[in-house]
Amino acid sequence: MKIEFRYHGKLSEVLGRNSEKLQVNSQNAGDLIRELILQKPQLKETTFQLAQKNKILKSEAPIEELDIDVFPPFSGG
Amino acid sequence: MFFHHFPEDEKVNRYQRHIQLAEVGAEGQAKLEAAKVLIVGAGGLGCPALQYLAAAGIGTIGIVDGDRVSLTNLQRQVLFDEKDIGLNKAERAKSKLEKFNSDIEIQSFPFHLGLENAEDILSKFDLVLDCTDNFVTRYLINDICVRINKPFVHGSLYKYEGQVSVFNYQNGPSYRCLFPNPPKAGDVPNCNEIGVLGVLPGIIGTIQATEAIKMILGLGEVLSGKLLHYDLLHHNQKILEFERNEELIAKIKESKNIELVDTDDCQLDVQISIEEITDLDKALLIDVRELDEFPRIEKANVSEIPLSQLTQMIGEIPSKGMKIFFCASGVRSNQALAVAKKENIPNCFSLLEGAEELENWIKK
Repeated sequence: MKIEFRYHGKLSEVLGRNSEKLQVNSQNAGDLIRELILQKPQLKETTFQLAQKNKILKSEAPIEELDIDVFPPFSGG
Repeated sequence: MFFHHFPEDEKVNRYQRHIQLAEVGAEGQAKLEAAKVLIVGAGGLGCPALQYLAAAGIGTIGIVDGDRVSLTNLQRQVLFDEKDIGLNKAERAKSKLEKFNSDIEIQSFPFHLGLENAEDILSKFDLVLDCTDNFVTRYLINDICVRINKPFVHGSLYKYEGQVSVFNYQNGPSYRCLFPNPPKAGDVPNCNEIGVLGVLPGIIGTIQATEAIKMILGLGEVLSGKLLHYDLLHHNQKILEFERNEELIAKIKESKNIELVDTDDCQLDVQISIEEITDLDKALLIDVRELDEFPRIEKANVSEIPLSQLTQMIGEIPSKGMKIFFCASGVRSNQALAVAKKENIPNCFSLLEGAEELENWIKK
């Protein structure tokens, strides 16, 4: 399936774009994180969480949406 | 310090617009007056949060910050003015806020929050606002708050985006439930290298103050188990739900000691310029150059500990008082700072300038 990933915070800079569609096969969030890092090795050293339908996904959560938000923590203050 | 306490009818007058709200009333205002709120970090987020909390009549406000005001702060840290440059932020903020509201008590803690003092300070307050600028302190606040059952309001920024959430509130999730793994050292840009639109901390810090006031008054819905993500460029807002991770919480509660995360980020925002040092004679200046490097600085309060021997000689650095490492250019002094931090020696700084500039400054 093709999922649109929306990158937030510094991830959009690391990847040079705010969003993109990627062909992925993962059925749950944990697998999807690993698959995303395989396709985007720049994310390997970063910390982030996936969200769908405005819910942060636990690793066993099934992927049901074709839009996924990718959020890093922010440190600035 | 002379506090001008207003008579009761003047108090009613001052907070009239609060008291007029049916959901707040005189009772609500009394709750604000009884509340004790601690703000960690009097920077971009802390300044606006402090202003609104003081204006709202929060009876006891604590401010923790070991940093000094610099010119680059004034673009967003709206409590400070040009005369404050070089002075401690917690103390300057306290003195400004006392002018805004002489009827509340403000306590300043003019040093960095660390393992050695965090639990003591946080325990004295009902509610904490995390207005810091680094992951080390954010995880420290979280872990202590989980252990002592203290709710805290998190606010953080990146360029044009901000995040707010309330952690550890009425058995809600903690920061680690949202982001279990702290970013690795290489994942975090040096805080001084990131730009930020000055109004962003104004918005996010004000939302943090909003959540604090709502919690005290029992108003509306608190952002517990919810991360508010705000994007200033498009005014996009998302509220993301997340759950408490019992396993992680139990781990924090049961672990023998709290450990600092090793994300080496803005915690090291303790680089200091000669001009920012208010009293050069009061600090201990530690020369970390090798003994054959020139010029040597001849001054009573200079101690010579080459970087190569620092670890062995670390016991010679007193924990009390301000310590400033210097070298030829500011590189080794930064490394010395990292060593001192690892050894948990508080109140250490790294001089931005080298020994030659220091010598010239002393001669002046």
